[in-house]
Amino acid sequence: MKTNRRTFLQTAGVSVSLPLLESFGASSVEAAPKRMIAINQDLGFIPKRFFPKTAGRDYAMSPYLEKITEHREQFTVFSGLSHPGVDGGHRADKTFLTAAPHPGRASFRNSISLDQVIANEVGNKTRFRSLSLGINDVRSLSYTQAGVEIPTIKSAADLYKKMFLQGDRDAMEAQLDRLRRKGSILDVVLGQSSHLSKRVSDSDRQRIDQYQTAVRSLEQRLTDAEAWEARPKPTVDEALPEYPEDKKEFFAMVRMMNDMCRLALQTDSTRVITLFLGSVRTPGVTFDDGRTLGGYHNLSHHGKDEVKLSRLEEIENAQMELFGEFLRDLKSVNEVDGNLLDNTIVLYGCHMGDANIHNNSNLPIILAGGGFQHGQHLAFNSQNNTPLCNVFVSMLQNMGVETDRFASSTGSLTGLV
Amino acid sequence: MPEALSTFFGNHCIDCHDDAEASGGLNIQSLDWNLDDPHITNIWVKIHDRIVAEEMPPEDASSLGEVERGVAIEDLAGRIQRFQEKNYAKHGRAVSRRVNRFEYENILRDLLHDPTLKVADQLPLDGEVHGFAKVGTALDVSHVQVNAYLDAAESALRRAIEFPVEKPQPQSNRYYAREEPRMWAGTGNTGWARFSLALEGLEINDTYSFEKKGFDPAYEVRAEVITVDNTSAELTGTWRESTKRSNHVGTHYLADNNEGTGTYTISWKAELPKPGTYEVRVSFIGGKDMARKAPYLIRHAEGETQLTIDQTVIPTIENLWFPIGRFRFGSIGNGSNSEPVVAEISLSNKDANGWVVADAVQFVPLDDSGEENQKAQLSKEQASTAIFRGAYTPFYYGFEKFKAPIRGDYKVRLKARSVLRQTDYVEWEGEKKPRHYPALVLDATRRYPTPVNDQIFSGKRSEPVKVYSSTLYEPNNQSMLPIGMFEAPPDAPEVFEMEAFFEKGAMVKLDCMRLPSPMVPAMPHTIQKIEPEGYPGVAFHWLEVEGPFLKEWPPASYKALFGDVPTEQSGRHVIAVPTHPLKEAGELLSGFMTRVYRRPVADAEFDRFYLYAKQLLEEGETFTEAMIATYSAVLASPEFLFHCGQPGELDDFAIAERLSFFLGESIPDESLRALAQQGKLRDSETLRSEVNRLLEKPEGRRFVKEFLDAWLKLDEINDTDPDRELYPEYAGDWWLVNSMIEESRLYFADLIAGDRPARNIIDADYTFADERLALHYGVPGVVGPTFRRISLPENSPYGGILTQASVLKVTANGTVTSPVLRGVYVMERLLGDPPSPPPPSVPAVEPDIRGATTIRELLKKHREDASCASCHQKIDPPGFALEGFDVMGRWRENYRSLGEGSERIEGVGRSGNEYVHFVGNAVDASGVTPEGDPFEDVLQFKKLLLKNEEVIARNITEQLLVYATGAPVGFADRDEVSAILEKSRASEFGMRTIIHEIVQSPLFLRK
Repeated sequence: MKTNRRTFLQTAGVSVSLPLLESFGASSVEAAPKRMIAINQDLGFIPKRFFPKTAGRDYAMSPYLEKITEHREQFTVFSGLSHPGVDGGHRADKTFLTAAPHPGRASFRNSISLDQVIANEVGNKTRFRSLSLGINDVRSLSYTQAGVEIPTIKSAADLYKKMFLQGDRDAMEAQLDRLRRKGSILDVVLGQSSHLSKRVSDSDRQRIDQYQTAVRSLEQRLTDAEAWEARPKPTVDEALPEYPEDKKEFFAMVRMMNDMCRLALQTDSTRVITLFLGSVRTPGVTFDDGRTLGGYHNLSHHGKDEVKLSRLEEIENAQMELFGEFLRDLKSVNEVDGNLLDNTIVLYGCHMGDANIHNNSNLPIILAGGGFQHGQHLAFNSQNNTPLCNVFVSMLQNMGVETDRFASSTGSLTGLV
Repeated sequence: MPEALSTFFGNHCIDCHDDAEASGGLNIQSLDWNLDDPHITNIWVKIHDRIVAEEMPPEDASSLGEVERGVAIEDLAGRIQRFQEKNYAKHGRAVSRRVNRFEYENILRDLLHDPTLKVADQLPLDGEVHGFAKVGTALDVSHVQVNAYLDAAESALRRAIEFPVEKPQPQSNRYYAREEPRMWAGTGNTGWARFSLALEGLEINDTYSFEKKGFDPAYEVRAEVITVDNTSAELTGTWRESTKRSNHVGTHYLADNNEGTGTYTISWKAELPKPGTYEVRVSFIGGKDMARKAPYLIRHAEGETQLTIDQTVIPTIENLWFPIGRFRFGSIGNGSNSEPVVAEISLSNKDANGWVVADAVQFVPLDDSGEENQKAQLSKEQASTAIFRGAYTPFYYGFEKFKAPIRGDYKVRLKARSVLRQTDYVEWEGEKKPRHYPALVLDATRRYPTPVNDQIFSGKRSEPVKVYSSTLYEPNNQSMLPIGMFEAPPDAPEVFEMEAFFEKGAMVKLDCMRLPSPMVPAMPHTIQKIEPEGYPGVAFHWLEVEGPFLKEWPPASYKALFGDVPTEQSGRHVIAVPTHPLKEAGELLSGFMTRVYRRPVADAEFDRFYLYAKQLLEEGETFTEAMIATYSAVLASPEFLFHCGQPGELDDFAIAERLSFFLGESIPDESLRALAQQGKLRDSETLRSEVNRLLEKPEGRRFVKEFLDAWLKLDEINDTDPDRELYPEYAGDWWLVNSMIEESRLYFADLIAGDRPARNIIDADYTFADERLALHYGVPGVVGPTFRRISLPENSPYGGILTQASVLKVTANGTVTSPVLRGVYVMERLLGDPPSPPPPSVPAVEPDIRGATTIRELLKKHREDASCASCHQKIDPPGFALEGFDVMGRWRENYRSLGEGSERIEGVGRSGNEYVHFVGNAVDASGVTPEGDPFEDVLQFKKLLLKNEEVIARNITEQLLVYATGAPVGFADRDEVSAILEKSRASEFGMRTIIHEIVQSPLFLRK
């Protein structure tokens, strides 16, 4: 797939102006902040084309990893990882970052996702505590403490508007009014919930209390948002992207979302992003030369058919190339110490090891950037997988979160420094 | 764990079910006796059931006597039961729950009289228990929800004030196809446009003309030439149809017996657009054996004229038409156009002296100077644009000039008829592209079919058209709302009227349902291969929209919020201007809260919101804004969002709430609220009649939709599309998918309306279908897109929910079917016996569509291994039985593969997609039930399932109970469930009876 960069993106000539961070006392010499982005490629990769045959530092590139070979020293590829107890094929998309077991079961409750744990720590430093993004799908990777899904922003154009379009003074006043209005409404309903909580039976009280927690949590966020509303948004050179309406323009959408992620991180609009590249609901995929292959989901059920496999490979090659472009873009942004990729932990993978059989073990996982020592294939036992949450613990510690556990982890990941 | 049980398990179970072996994935040694945990409780219940069924311990592994078994079971059952009952007494069966997304949306729709309001997609997805978003433990609340409630409520409330102060008067506007830009060319390249559309009266068969003149509405239309083909003529005698020579009109021409007896006659009648002089032309092939004296008779304004024509002559105009004279038709000076102008030509074979050929006649209008009127303005009324494809993004043709000015009721009228377009072949030499159709692609024969856009004739059959309203230019599933359907007749156009409710800005979209929707990368010429005889289409003359018809003004949505408070315009919306703001705020608020809170509003609660409104007014907020904010607060408050209740008997208000959320997905209506107020809902007769009333209301359809979407997972129906190589006949067939869903809904609604037995879930000798579905099911003789009840032939595998196409589609992906997936679904959803998940170490079966092995062969391992067999002996039988149906639920004798097979099939699919696939192995749908009964196919399997109707009835009862009461059916509820079944037995477990008995049961009437 040849790269066809849309003209709205001008990496070379980017000039970005950030509001002065006076109230946070940041000086220009201070180190760039640590960020995290987690990307889930919904239908994963054909295992034998993704996983390298050898392990360690000198591993031989697999056909798919060839596409990002220029970044060899900036990423680590893993094999033999999965979330224990997580099954259910496609259903495991919502537990990719939570590791809550048995997402397909009738009584499943999700738990907090990795990005939200990080957002709880660093979220108040940026306008957006975190960003949840999705393409072609309603589902999200991000879940709150209560196990509720955080809805995604589904259009790069919408995201751009949120981040960079500044209304005039009147618009800002109007927005502040709205935020205050919401806050006053919450006061009223909070009063009622305290009252109600006393009246109901024990087990019901839990439900009402959860509601109360939610209201208080929202109040806090509204207060933070009010503070941010008064500050000017960053300005960027890039124009508002024309996000396609046609679901088949999948690659174009991925590119635009990747670009928005880079801009978001670069402008410190947020430090925590999740991006779901929803392909199950993508009807077909249009290539730059006008051809459409698809449906994507159908091809992933190749049933060993040669033609389907080769079409699927073409799509998956393109996915890897897009990922490579993204890493390149992050590298091209210079920061006080290193580049944006050095300061951003990038997690890229899928909740299914082999979409053709819908299994959830031996997941394809790549970790890039973040200042880790990369350039290896860390291979774990394919019959007896190591918990993927161990990687998450390493990520949390790298972000400065003081913890040694997350969900089903057994420690930080061996071999990852 | 209690001592007695511990001993029992130690003696009879731990040997296999211990830490080391954990046979079948069950480790009793380390299993907690923790009945607070529902998951663990389920395991204990399963253990209990297997011991009761004597499945465990296995006979060869233990010496458990009957008495000891009985004692242990009673002990175990008793403990679980007492524990649960104590819990119920303390907390109730159902934990308090918030409204789910769809209920929230329906409540706002009902409250605000806004039936097309969409807010559900602004709310995060709900958690589910047993597939139902009705159980409190899964319906969590986080800051995300609360924020979404505030935004959703505000946007819904603001819609209620978005209207002008002056009531808009109904208008009627007609939009002529001839003047619609979207009916000229649509988007995409002109090759596609030329395939998709034909514009009547224009000779635009080449790119240049189509591009230039086609786009130019000022271009004058060629005068209407009236052509009548032999297919529309009246005949006597046994005329022979022939296509031996090609210079004929339409699909064939007629020839007599060359005996000149006069027993063969033909009469063409035409209705001419206006009185005047016309040149009459006839077509008759020509050639040396033809009749030298074919006698024609023309009836015209001045009487009759007989002519003898020599049919050996090759017709002079384009080898097709032979002019036989000019005649006047209709009375001149008539003035009014209302009288139809009838013309008649007849021909017989009396003394014709040769073969008489009858094909078509043509009437060409002449202007006053006697010249063929090339430039006559064809009336907009008469001109039409024909569409030759079904709708598919981005090819929506339609009347885009109309956009509804305001939300409300309208009447929509469309004038249309069905047509048939000829195809012609183009050949060329060498590599150069053909002169007229450079956009099209060569095929191997170097001849390819192409549409001939000025050879359009009456259709052979009527064509169904579905009409939608849409608020998006490029509509999608979310934005399209069906308004109505009609069948465009062949021959003369008819006007069809339907009633529509339009959102503001809505447009009318058309879908010619039966016509294929060519999808990229198909090329137009491949589509022509599908219909070698001529290509059907629908010609639309105009769209007329009358309205809005607004029943009340200000609209009901305003009145719901502001009552009779007068309005004033403020920009695009109104504001309410009360005379006594504080007083009126109080009155409105009181009415609002009583409506949305399902219990009497406590003074303290009223004060809470009233003081808020007062505070806002005192701060200088306008009345309208203050009320919107206060209403938003009410709609985000826990008393609104949550169903609460004290454990024990539910009071009338709680019963009304439960009932209306069960059967209407919304808050109680006026009638139900009144009964609750009057304390009448604990009366069994009243409950019975309310259930009937709610089921029969239009809102009862919401229950059918939401329940089936959850129970049968029908909301996943569009998750996969059939593979276009393996199943080319289904490409772009939205009609089929929509019909599948409609069948399931109508069938289920009928089960309830007719109190039909629960066994009809498994099998029946009838179903509901339209033309498309009947074709799918192999039932002949069903014509038209309207749904009706049909009887199924005796040997039909269809009938019953088990074998409905919708169910068969959601349990397959687009490429292969899976007996395990289908088997698990049947056990879970229809039989109430969900199997345990597979042990984690088992690798999934890898489907192989290359053809050599069937899925059955791949699954053999499961039947050979004892620990797999214990579950698979139950999963496999329904799974295998359903292998007789493909990924769209059609009956099949063989699999299809892409690699190898007994026969290679190639062709062009429904969307112009060229395909190659192979006929694969024969389907083996036989099996053996867990009880040991063998079956050959699904028909026999159904009979075996029906031996135990109670199992089916019990399952549907339990599914409905979870839905209705918001709590899973626990061990302690089993006696009550049995009681419900007993009371339904007399009606053969009638579905309505079951619902009644559920509502009457303590499970429903207690928390």
